[in-house]
Amino acid sequence: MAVPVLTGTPSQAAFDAILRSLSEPGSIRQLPPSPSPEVPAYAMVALALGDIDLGVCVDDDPMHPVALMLRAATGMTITGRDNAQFVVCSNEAVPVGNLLTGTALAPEDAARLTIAVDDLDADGDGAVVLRGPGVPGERRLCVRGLDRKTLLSLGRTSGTFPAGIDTWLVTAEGRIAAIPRSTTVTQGEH
Amino acid sequence: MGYVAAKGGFDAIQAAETLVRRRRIEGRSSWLELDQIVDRLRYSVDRVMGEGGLWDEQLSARAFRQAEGDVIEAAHLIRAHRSTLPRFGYARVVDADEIDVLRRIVPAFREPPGPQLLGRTLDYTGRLLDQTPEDEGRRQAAEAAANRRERVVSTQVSADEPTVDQRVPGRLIDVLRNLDALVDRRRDDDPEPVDISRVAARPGAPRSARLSTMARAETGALVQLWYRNILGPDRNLHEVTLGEVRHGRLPIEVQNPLTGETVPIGSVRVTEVEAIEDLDGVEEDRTRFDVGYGICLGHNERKAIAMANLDVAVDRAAGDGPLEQSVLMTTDGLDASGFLEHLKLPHYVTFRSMMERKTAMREAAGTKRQERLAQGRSDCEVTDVSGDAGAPVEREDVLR
Repeated sequence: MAVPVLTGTPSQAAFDAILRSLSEPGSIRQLPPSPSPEVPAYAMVALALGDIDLGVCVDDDPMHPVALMLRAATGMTITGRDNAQFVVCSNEAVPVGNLLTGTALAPEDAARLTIAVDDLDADGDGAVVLRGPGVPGERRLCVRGLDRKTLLSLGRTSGTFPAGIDTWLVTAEGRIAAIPRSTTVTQGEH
Repeated sequence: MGYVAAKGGFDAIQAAETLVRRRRIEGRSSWLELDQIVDRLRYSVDRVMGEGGLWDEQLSARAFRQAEGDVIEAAHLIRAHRSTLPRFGYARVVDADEIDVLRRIVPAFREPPGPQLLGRTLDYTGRLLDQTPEDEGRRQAAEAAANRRERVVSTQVSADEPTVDQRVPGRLIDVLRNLDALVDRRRDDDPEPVDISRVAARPGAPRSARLSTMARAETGALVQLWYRNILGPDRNLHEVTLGEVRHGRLPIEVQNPLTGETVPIGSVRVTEVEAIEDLDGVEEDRTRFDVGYGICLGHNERKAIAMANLDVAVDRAAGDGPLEQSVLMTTDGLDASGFLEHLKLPHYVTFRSMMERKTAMREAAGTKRQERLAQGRSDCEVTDVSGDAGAPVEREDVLR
């Protein structure tokens, strides 16, 4: 089995999309194509950023094929959800509580959470409103396929800033938006 | 710090980037190939790898070309790229004795264990600018390349090809150690070396942090700090003799995660130096020498020599004086150049705040003078301003 790797331009394009999505929360970016059918789009963040010093948890399942693939490709250790630097969820049903949030002195120790969603849109019914650094005024984001309670628990409420969790929402086509820990998420008006 | 983003200058910034790209890509000469840079500008390539902290000649050449020959800018590109690379594993710790030398000299001793292998060096060459006409130079290069191909094809091994003992020689310090002429700074425990790419080295840091910092430091900064300690005001270095100067290949080995076997996966070229220091301090063992250690990626003897001397100098200073701080915090090329170059970014808020402080001080001084003058007029007794009338500033104010 060939180990999927991100090299050269796709690697830089993935890094660029991941970083820009964080710096402009709620804006929708496009990840480069997956290097292999074994790598679903929702695993691209962990594939692009993970390495041997970090732990990964996919769907709370240590034998999940994506977890095994990420371990082979990046050297990451497969760990429990409460101990993982990369928490990857293939669907909205996976619980996302009890993750590492880092501390005021070491905010970098927090988990990076990636959740697969059905669709992302700049607006639409049920859109949430994002505010905070990187958002001029406010930005609306419509997320299909993610429990609303989970969506509202992301961003600023995920920890006591600067502790907290940075989250990426990814569609199967590799469209990606981020809700970093500095972003406030509120209900949009209907 | 009051920096402001360069608002409103977006078009200008884009135009600047276009100007940079235009000269870099168009040029007025033919495209510069990476192999040419690796092959013919090897000291620059080695410096970029050493100061960037990443062994990859092709990438280093690419950075050097992109930086248009600016070594520090190229090292910056490499360091930035390095920070994005995932860590796949850790190499086995290799003993520096495994070095396969391409050059090895022992300036301190005529007949050390192993050979004096002069190798490729300019040490005994007069600095005469080569003014061979370009056509003649090209002809010589083509001829030499043809001869080289012939040599490779003939595969004839020369009778004086170095033996293993010659390629992996012993060390002078082992001789000195056997003579009990060295103090021993080696430690018995084996702590993990500090990873300075994860944790910033600050005074009081272990020796591994100091050595890693210098191995990645800017060559000129180390040379300057070395010279300042020889001839400048600091004077932490006295009698300096070099025990080993080596340039060679060190193997890189990793453990196979499945079989547990050690597998060689390549090698890196390094320069390694051991500097012998005469101990002459009151508190020191004056019957023995101490040895400083320097090693860096690529062929860069200036850097490794300065490093070895500074290593022992920091140890001798033992936290007394600013040398350790200078080594750890002022020798990194990216740190120093980055801080210096950021001064070119808009500092409108910083400067406005400084200006406001000046204005406020003037206004405060003006008000004070007004009050004094008003007081002077109302009190005719105060006429002798040259006497003890308070602080000099106040006297000056009254005299004005």
